[in-house]
Amino acid sequence: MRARSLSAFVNLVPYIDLMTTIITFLMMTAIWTQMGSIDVQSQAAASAAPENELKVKPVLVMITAQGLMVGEEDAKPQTLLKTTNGEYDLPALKNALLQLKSSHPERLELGLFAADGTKYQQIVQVMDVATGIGLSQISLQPLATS
Amino acid sequence: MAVQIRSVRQSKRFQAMKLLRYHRDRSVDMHINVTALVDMMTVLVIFLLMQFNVSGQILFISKDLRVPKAVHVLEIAKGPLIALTRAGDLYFEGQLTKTKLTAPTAANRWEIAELADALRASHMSDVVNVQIDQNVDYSLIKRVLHTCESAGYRRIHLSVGDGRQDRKI
Repeated sequence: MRARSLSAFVNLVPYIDLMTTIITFLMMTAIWTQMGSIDVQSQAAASAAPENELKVKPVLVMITAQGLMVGEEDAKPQTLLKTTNGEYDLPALKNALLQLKSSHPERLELGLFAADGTKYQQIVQVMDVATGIGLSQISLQPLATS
Repeated sequence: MAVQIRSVRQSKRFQAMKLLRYHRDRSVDMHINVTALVDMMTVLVIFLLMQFNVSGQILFISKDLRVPKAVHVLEIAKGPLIALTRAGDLYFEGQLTKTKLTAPTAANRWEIAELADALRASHMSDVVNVQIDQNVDYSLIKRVLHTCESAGYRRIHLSVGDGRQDRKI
C-alpha cells in the first residue's frame, strides 16, 4: 500500500496580517514622550494636615520677579537674586533648602508661593529641586502681594 | 502514515513562467522563510503592548503643548485630564472647554465655570492630571488649580516630561 503524502504546513498568512495590523495600530498610537507628574496639594488639603504633622514649620519659597526668597515661617527669608542671564539661581536654592532640611530631616512640607508673571517652567524647576532633596509635599499658592 | 512536506506549491501560472522553462519536469522549491519575520513581529508586538500599558494611564499631549521637564517625578495617576495651552485654550479630557482664558480681574472670579461643571460631572477620585504649557503664566494656572480645588479635587498631579535622561541639577 502506497503512503499518501500529507501537507503539514501551517498557514501563517493570517497571523502575519494580524501582527502587521497590531504593530501599525500600536506604533500610530504610541506616546514616545516619557511623562511623569509632580504631586501638588491644594491649599485646603495642606491646611487640613493633622496637628502633629505641623509641629515642624514648613519651608517657604517665594518666586518673585526679582528672584527667590527661601525661609521658614516667622523668620527672615533669604533672598536669592536672579543670575546675570536672568534665570533663577537653582544651585543656590538647592543649597538653601538643604540647610533648612538638614535642621529638621523629618520635614517634608514646602509652601511654594508664586507671583503673577511667573512662567510654569520656572515653577516646575523650583518644585523639581525641592522634590529632589525630599520636600515632596508641595502646596502651590499665589503670592499675597500679587 | 508518513508526514511529507510538500515541495511544490506554485500555481499553474507560476509553472508556466519562463523561469521554469528548463525545470518544468522538476519540482522547484520557492519558499520564503518567514520564521524570522514572525519572530520579529511577535517581539515587537509584545514590546509595544508593554509600552502602551506602562502606567495604566494614557495621557494624550496636544501638538501645541510643550510641557516642562523634571527629574524627580512620580508615576502618572488615574484621573481626569486638563490641558492648558500657551494660547490659553483649556481642554478637559481632550474636549475644548474654554478658549482664550484670561487672568483674573476684580470683576472676574478665579473659578472657571465651564471647567468646574465638567469636573463635578466626572468626579471619580480626588486626583486630577493637569498638563500646562511651559510658557503659561501663573495668573492663568492659579485659576485652573483653584477650580480643581473648588470642584473637590484635593490632589493635583502636574504632568511634566521625564527629564531623567538629561539631568542638569
